[in-house]
Amino acid sequence: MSRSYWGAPHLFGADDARSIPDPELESVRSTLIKYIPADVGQAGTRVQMLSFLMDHPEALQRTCEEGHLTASALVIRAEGECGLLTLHRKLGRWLQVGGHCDGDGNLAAVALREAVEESGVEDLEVDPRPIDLDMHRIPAHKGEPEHWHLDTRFLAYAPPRAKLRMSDESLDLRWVGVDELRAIDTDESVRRLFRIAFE
Amino acid sequence: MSEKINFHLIDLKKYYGQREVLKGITLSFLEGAKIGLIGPNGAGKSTLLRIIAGEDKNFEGEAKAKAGLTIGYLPQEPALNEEKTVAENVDEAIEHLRAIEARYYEVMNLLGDAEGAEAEKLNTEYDHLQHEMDSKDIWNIDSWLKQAKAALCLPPDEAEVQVLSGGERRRVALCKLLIDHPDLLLLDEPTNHLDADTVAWLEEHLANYDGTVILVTHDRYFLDNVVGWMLEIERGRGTPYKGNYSDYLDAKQGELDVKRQADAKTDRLIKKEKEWKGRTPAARATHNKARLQRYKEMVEKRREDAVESIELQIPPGDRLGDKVIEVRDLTKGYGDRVLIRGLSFDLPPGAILGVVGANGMGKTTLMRMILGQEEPDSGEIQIGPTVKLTYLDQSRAILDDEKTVYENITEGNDLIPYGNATLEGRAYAARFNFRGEDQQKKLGECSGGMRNRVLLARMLRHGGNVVILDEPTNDLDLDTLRVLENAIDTFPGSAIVVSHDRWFLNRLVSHILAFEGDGYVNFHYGTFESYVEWRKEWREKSDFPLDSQAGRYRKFRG
Repeated sequence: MSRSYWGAPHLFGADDARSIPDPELESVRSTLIKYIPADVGQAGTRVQMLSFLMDHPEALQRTCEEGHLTASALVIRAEGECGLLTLHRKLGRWLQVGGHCDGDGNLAAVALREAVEESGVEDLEVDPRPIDLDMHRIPAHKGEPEHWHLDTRFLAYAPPRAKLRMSDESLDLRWVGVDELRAIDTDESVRRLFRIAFE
Repeated sequence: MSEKINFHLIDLKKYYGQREVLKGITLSFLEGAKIGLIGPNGAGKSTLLRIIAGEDKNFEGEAKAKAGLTIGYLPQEPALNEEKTVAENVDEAIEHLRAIEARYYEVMNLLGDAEGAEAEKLNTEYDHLQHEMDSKDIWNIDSWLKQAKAALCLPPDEAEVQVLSGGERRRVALCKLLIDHPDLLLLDEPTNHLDADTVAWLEEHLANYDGTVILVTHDRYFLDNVVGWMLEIERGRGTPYKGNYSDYLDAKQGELDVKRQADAKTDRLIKKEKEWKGRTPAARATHNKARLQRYKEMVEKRREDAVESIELQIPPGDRLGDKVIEVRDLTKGYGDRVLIRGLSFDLPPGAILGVVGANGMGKTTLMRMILGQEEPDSGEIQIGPTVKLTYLDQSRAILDDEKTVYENITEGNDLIPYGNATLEGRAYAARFNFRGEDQQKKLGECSGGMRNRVLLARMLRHGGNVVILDEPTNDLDLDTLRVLENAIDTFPGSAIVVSHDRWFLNRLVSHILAFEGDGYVNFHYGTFESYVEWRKEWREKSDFPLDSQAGRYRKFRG
């Protein structure tokens, strides 16, 4: 008998850690609930994401057609104000590295895993506190209907003089400086990430 | 059953004017969770229920139900269709089931003549309807409807709801709600006006309910028997506890112990800060603002905490002799109706007598006879020579709405004798948890619980060594209740308490006087629990008629 401490914040009804319906999903919810939104927009996105999860408890899997959870990271390095962006093969845009959760509810770990895979840098470090939430539509592609991505973003740190190695998901991969951002084809949410990281 | 989250609150905030009642509550409920909502009166429990029910949309943050979730809500004063009878009101809850039933028989008839694609379509619908008939037990709709009405002791079917009492209206509304069987059931004081047998039935029904239940109640036994979770609303925050009310008390005690140690530390810190503050007036202005801020916060915190730790003491009267109250062969009735038949008992000094029984059975009449306000038909009541009686009246008619709380309590006496000492009126009122501005409030603006405390303070002012309390626990919040219990527990005289509160009756009472109806009044040595045991045997032996059919638990669906 105690308060509900086991990483299921304010979840009523589970008798103990083992009877939490889906611990992976609960881990996602817990991350979102603990996240302190910086402005009204972020507060709204947080509510939207938590509501989506209530109506779609299977959202950790990409088989959830309405939409699913993803995690990403803005990788930064000690040398200068720049972030790692990749020219996405499918979308044709410069984006931060990241990918699908595929059942893993540890969002920071997913972001790290995807960042390592896409950058080729083995010894990245990720801060487990999210810095930004974003919910966006993904257009229909190869039989997959249009759907939502619920993306949780983290900050990751690359060691000095890290060597980049491109994965086959991307057309290009490079460090982009704050001042170069205006010149490339990217989206508002990436610019937002740079603002959070460097302002 | 695969449990899913079916409701959540995110950063829920609620304002009444400038006052922030709920200061950002984030919670999720799983299917099937049974949650008891507790907290001081006015903390926002009913507000939270109304928000979850969707009846109050004036808030910040989010309160969202899973798509398709059905919600049912029993407010303190439920609305019924005034034009209709009891049966017609209850029937509203099963209209959709009647529709399924009607369509089922219709489709069955149509199937006989249909052919081809049409027949296929009807067949699919028939299968679906058949499934509905089975899963919702529509076959036995009339029989479980009858059972539900009997279990909740509903007034007769043909009664017009506009002539019903408040208690009867609540029963009708509750019955309708339980039959409707929503996924999320919200109940505000469900046990108010229910007799003990119906409460017992409701307890069992809710404990077995397959949906989520969130309830506000002052009935601590009810909490103990129904809920698996507690949500404490205090100073605008919600704190979840796992377990029932007893578990909650244990956890709370543990927290208090930890806090007491921390408090001692805070006290030392405050003292140190104070010294520092006094010593260096110049430094204060220029630097160390943070430290000053911290001091202010600490003092503020202590002030808030002080509200919690009130202690109430019933002012003790003169020493009580051996003879307190002796009742011999007492009989009393009105016209043909016998309320008390041949009752004899002795109330020993120091005893706490719990008086139980349904309303209208003669409890208050007995109190009036003890007070000498009414004469017995035969037999006698002797009051010991050292006894000084104080009576706390259920009707509360003596209070003046136009006067302030302070004036109602003191009745113009600024000094109150208190045991061997004298207290100032303000200090006396503060002992009943009325602080500064509360004392100046007009009584007419006070809630039921506050009025009850005013009355308690006013009546107890006169001292006395035998106090008679008629339903003192009505409308008191749990904190004040605990305080009152402690006061009665440590009271050096005797007390007679008329109450429905089983927790109260079991923990405090040394004797029970039970009005069973038809003139039967049993005097029992022991708690309410032991009386209930004894009564079971007594009823079997004496083939006493059961006063309602509700005593035996029956599920009325599935």
